Amino acid sequence: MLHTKDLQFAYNKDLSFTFPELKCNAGESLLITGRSGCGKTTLLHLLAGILHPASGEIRIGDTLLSSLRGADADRFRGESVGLVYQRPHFIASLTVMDNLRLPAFFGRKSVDEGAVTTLAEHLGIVHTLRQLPDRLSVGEQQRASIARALVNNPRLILADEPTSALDDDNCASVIELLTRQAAEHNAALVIVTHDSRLKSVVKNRVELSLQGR
Amino acid sequence: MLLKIIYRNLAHKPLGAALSIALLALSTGIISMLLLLQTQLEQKFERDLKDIDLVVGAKGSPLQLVLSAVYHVDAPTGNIPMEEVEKLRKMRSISGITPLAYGDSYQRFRILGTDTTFISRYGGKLRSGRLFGQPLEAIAGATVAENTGLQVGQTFYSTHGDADGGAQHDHAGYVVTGILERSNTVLDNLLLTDISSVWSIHEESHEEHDHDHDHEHDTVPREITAALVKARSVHSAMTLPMMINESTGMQAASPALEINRLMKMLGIGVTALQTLALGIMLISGFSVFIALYNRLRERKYELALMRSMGCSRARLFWMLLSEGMLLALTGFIGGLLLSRLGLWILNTSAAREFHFVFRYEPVQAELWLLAITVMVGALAALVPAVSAFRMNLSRALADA
Repeated sequence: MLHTKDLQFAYNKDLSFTFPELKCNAGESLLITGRSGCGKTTLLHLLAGILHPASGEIRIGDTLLSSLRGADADRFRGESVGLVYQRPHFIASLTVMDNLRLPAFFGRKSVDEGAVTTLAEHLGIVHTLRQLPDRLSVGEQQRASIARALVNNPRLILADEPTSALDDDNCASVIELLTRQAAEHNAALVIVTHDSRLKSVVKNRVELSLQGR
Repeated sequence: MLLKIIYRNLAHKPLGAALSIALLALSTGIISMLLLLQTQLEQKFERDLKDIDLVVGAKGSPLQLVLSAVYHVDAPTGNIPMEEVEKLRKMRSISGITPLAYGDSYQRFRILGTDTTFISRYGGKLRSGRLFGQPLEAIAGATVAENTGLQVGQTFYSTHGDADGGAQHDHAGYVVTGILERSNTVLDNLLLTDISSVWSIHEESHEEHDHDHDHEHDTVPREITAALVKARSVHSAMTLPMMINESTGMQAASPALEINRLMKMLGIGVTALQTLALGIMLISGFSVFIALYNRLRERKYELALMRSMGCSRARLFWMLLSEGMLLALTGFIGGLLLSRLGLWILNTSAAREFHFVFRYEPVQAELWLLAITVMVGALAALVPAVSAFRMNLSRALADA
């Protein structure tokens, strides 16, 4: 599902990154670890089409993401990539339900409220759908942001430090949810983290090394 | 959905939006009200002008003469002898004369002695009854009938002058013989009768109340207040005033000229108000800018989030621009309501005095106002929209 080759990115002459080859099949998970400053978030943004690589290839399914630019990359991201962040962020003025409908809206897909509700039930947040996001607990918020990443049935789910703000209990349940949901949706899951608690949970792992300065 | 996002965002922090909307509503309200007043007054002045080339009356302020004789709003300048007017009637350069004699009023509506040319000049039609024929018969305009409840066959007693508390002529009453249809002209607000009726009322009243009307005693008979003159040609319309002003004891004034002068004088005030309103509009544009820009900094992460969900730069740009335009539109609608409220207050408080009711329907210039307001909103949103367009998505996401 996900395959990168000879991936390079440069912020400027002094700050550039070369990334190892990555492979992740549909329904599987890949953990990318490394100390801060080694380009974890940069890599994630490359995989999401938010940043554009200086050279190399990113292939997601049969799409060559590294060849897409501007609005095309935006559209591909909206359709095929789900993102989960370290701290859950929402549109504060919209209810959780409306926040969960946003990816479909921006990804130009039709909104299936029934599917959204089912997903919310699976993640145990169905009781929060009519509330504004800042009324939710941190655990509920993180589960809602996972729901948002899954709503569009993306082929690739990218998680940036999804557990580092959570206590052990929440950490375990969130990572369990992420991996299980990714498998159920038959999506490739890439988790970028320095959270060592996750190493025991995810088998496939790539360690990034400090480089390039 | 996009509308919902925009609306909910504005409603989420309502105070900043409220200030912008209030300022926008105030400025568009003032401008819209000025537009309505101007267009309707101009229309009204035009309509009542009909084909009156000149007004002949006693010497005094020409503007006052025009206002009293054509628009029936100011006090008359004085009286002129009927025989002088009859002399004018014989002149070749004059094709029509309508004499006007004021005297009394009924419930603040003026009673005007004239002849039937006055009614045909304004295209008046009878709704019921017949025209006045005998002395002391009168017909009522539509508004008069509505407000006083006068009906055909009814008798009413006039009051001396046009004040409420004036002495009542209760010995001789007028009989209403007809009611006019609404014509949206001065006819609506007048009671019309024969000139001889006005004279006879005053003759009788002077016999009885001689002691308190001494000053009018020798001027009462055969005098009228003014005459509306139709000239035979444009040329005579221009030469007649000089002739009348120099060779008779009367003055002739051109309504078109006087109204033009009046409009110019009012125009200074209108321009001042318009400038003020434009100033407020500028400030409201600035306030929209501040409201949107402040929110932009708070919402930077939300906007990044939308981008990360596949929203393109262009779409985000339009969304923020629409926010500004929606604010402006709301302000504009508020302004329309404000201006109508202003007119309503004018109508309820002063309509009687002006003998004019302002209408509420929109005028074409308000379309321009709408376009300008929306443009102000879009312009104010331009800077936030551009900075959202140029946002570095990767950094915005990493900074959160």
